[in-house]
Amino acid sequence: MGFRYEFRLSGSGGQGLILAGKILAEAAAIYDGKNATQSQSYGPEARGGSSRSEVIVSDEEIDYPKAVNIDLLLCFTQEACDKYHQDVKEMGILLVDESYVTKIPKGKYKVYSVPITETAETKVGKALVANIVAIGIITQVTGVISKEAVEAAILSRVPKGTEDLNLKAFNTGIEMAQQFK
Amino acid sequence: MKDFLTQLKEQHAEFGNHYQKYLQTVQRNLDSLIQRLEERKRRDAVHILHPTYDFGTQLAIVASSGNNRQEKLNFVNTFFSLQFLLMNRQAVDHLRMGVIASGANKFSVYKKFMIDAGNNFRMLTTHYINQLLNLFVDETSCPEFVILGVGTKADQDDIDVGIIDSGTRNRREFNRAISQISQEMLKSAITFHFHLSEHIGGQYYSASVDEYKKALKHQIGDYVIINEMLSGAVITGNKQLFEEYQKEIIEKYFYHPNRDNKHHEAYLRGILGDVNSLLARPISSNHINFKEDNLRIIKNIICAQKTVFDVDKVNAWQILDDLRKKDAKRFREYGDLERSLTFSEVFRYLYQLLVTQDEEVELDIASFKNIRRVARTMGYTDLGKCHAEEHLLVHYYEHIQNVRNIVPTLLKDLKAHLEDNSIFVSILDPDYGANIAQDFLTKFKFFRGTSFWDDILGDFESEALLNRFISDLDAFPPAKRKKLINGYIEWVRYDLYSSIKFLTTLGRTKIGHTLFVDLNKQLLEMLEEMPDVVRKMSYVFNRFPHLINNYLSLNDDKTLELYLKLLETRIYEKEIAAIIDNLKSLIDIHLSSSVFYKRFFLRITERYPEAIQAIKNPELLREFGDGIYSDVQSMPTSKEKIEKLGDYYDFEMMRVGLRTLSGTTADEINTEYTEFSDRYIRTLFDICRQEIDTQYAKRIITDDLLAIFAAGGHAREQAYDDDYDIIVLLNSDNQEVLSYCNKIISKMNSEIIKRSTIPHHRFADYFGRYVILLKEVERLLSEERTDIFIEKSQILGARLVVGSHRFEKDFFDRVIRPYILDQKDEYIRQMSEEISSRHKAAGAQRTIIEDNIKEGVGGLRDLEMILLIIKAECGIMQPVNSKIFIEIAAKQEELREDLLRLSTGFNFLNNLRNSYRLTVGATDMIMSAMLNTAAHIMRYQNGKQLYDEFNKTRGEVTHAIANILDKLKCD
Repeated sequence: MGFRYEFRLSGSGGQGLILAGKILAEAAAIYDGKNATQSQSYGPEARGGSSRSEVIVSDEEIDYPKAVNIDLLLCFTQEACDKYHQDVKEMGILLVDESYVTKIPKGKYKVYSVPITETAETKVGKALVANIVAIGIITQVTGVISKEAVEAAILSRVPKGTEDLNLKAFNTGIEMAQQFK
Repeated sequence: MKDFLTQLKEQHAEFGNHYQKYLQTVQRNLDSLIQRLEERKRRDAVHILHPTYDFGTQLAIVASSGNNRQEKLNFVNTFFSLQFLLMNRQAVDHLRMGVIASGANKFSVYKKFMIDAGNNFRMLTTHYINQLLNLFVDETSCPEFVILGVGTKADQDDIDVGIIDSGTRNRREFNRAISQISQEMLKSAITFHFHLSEHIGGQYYSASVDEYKKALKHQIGDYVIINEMLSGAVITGNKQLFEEYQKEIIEKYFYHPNRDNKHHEAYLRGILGDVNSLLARPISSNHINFKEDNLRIIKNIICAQKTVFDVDKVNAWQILDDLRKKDAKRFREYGDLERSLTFSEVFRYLYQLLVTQDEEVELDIASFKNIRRVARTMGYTDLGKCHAEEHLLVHYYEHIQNVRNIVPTLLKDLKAHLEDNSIFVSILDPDYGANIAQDFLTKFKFFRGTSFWDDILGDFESEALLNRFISDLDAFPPAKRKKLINGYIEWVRYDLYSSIKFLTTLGRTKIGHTLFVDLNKQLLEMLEEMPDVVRKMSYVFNRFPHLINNYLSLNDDKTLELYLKLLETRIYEKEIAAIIDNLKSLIDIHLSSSVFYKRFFLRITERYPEAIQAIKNPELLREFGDGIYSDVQSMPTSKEKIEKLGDYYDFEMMRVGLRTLSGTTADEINTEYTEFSDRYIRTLFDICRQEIDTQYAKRIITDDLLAIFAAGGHAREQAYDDDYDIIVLLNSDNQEVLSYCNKIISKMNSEIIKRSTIPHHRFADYFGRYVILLKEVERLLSEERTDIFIEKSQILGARLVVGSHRFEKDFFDRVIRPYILDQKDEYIRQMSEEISSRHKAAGAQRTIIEDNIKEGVGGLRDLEMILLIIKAECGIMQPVNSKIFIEIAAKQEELREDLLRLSTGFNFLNNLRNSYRLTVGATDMIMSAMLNTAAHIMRYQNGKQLYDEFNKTRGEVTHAIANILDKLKCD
């Protein structure tokens, strides 16, 4: 049976999670030669403007691109964490931004509660690149997509003139994850 | 000469980094494609070097030239990528030329650009998808299907589609093929975004009409998806299936007179709630967001109107064209919306083309360079010191404001539409035949998750309906009642605004209070558990500050403290953090202010809710107050002038009060208070006089013979007195003038009292009228009475507010000099004796007045009396305040130390008095247990420390007064 890895990136509109999903998918599909799908959905603004992006990476053709057995769930809001944590599979990874998620639901998964936004603001210089810091962490923690592929995908997606800032954010995320035990 | 690929790269160098993907696809396969075309002698049938106008035919030739499926796929992707690049290049070049040629009117160029871009992109993607379907889907075994384009359709970050299938044979195989197509597209070209089927049915990419029906039967579900459904247009596939889908699904969301409109109503309640939320979202100063700032608001509102006015178009510009005809009363509004739509769409489109495919743009230096490129493409140039990108951003913000000005009018129309057609109309009737509380909740289930309830909430403002609702709820046994209440409080989960509005409506009525307490308790419990509650609160507060203000006014201190605790979360977005900071300050005001102050605060914030947002900005509040004052004279009638003037007084009272609560010294506060209070009296006099003139039908000449003096606290420029001591003098015997002046003052009285300040007319009880003749004052003061020093003190302390200097001089020459200054020894003796006897009396009833800041020993009364003594002794004419201590201290070495001590004491006691009035109540009795908030304002550690200082100060004041009186006696 082939390899299949499911990511779900969740939070609210404006946190750059759709872009993060696209970067991961393109990194896997274009630069790492794997199969990948990416889907996205925005919730109503009145319900908190939730935003969700799912990426599935596989070395085989992906028939069913709905993430049902999540390997890695990233949560940028408490609401998203409360809503989706049950979908994380046993021994999967729950990665949360501790700036926004303070109550971690119990489950048979590994939890990384990390100051993603705070780090983006203080170490990189812009809270806006928190999504790219998160991509760095995800890349390092999962090892599913190569660092080089993700770097290339980032560079092909970010605005001209912000490449260095985004690479700095990505590498900061990698370094953060290297400290995880 | 450069080769084609180099030329292509150079032509697209200005495009965003994401266009590299298309260039790479072309680079990878173009040579093989050309080789195959040449092998088949079809090279001249396909446009490689420039855009094609027959993309479908040429793409078919390209596809057929591949030797196997993979090669065909590579060629299709390559030709799509190539034409996509060339199409965008051509579009940008056209636009640049168009804006240069159009002069000032760029909107028609922008609109044409967007419509053409949408059409071209749809044409390109339709043929592209058809070719991919040919390669991957076996039409003989797959179900019937139709692929719909949904969403904006001009977006180039992905192709937004919905796929409807017939629900029959080999759906899984069909979905597998779509999945393969999707993965191939991600690698080489543009990606699919499957909007609808993600949420409906068991297959991932497609859903059947029956699956839609089933999913939407019991609950409105995700109304954002319904918005997408309403904008669906066929890209390719079975048109009959689309018609069935339209008839069975889409039609339900349109309004049909005299039919069941439950789905339509639920859609409106959902999507309009979304509009309300977007309007409540603060505009960031750090970034812009095309969708959330403007586009979603515009599209949601026009899509809602489309269902009301039965518009079948799916393109936003075409919908607006139809709405202008079908809803002609809003012709102007739709025109204005179209301008904002066009501007925002073209800005977004170009940003995503030239910079990056993101909705959010950080406004930093790097972005400004990128925005500049967009601005130049849109025809903006540097104007003087204003750069093109700044000019563009100014217009962007103007369009945000434009949308925020127009949309509330359309929301009002839609609210009226719901009021007329809601399925709740029959229930919300005080004469309804069954239980309103229960039946409302039952019907509400279908609407769960929606958040536009303004029409229904308005109904509950009817006392009859509210009474009926509460009695129906109370008719159930406690357990069932609790269950129903829980059902209502579920509302909060989706709609904090409506919940707070409903609670506020309840809490403001007597009958609703018990239910308010029950529901409010549960609301708080739910909020404590609710994720992201701080942001939600910030949105409601940002859009409806007066509602939150009213709601807070209904809560007790314990609940307010809980809210403060709830808001103690770090927020990264500066604009949200600023709103929360303001909200916390508002809660602080409700927590810490006295009923005396709150009365003004609530009264004026009800009339000017925008002031609530400025409570931390004293400068803005000051400008606002000045604005209200400048409006007074522009009011058409005296009544309106007086009302506006009353607003000015209340507003200034609120403003100065906020300054006191933030720790501004009494000296500054008293000056500001006196300025606005005098301004109020002077203007009120003018308006009342004009009104009496109108009644008399002539102007009575008073020849500067009338004057109004402030006495008591107002004369001493002391803030927050709850009465207004006043002396009105007339230097004339003319009975007509006397009667005329009395009428003016009588009118003024009835207005002053509305400001919660009672006018006390000094000497009026002696003469039976408000206006006293100057000669009557002379007569009064010449009476041989032991207590005449009290009247003399009123006169000596009086301060001219309305009147001429000539009158003031006459008053001095005829009253103050002969009756007070020329008899100062007697006056000072009487005042000194009064101080001694007051101290003795205070000793006798120690417990009663001990802590009275005014009447207690060493209190403000003692200080005022010593000030009057000094004034008489030194013949000073300036108002009685602490400046006198300083002035005399500079001249009289012997008294200096004691006078400076009195000055310090006077300032402290005034500070304490002001703070106490605003935090505890308008009373002179200082209760030590209530001093904590005042201590915080005055920067003492706690109430006890402040109370100790209060006692110490009074001791020092008493001692200094005794010293001064002794020295004066010796002199």
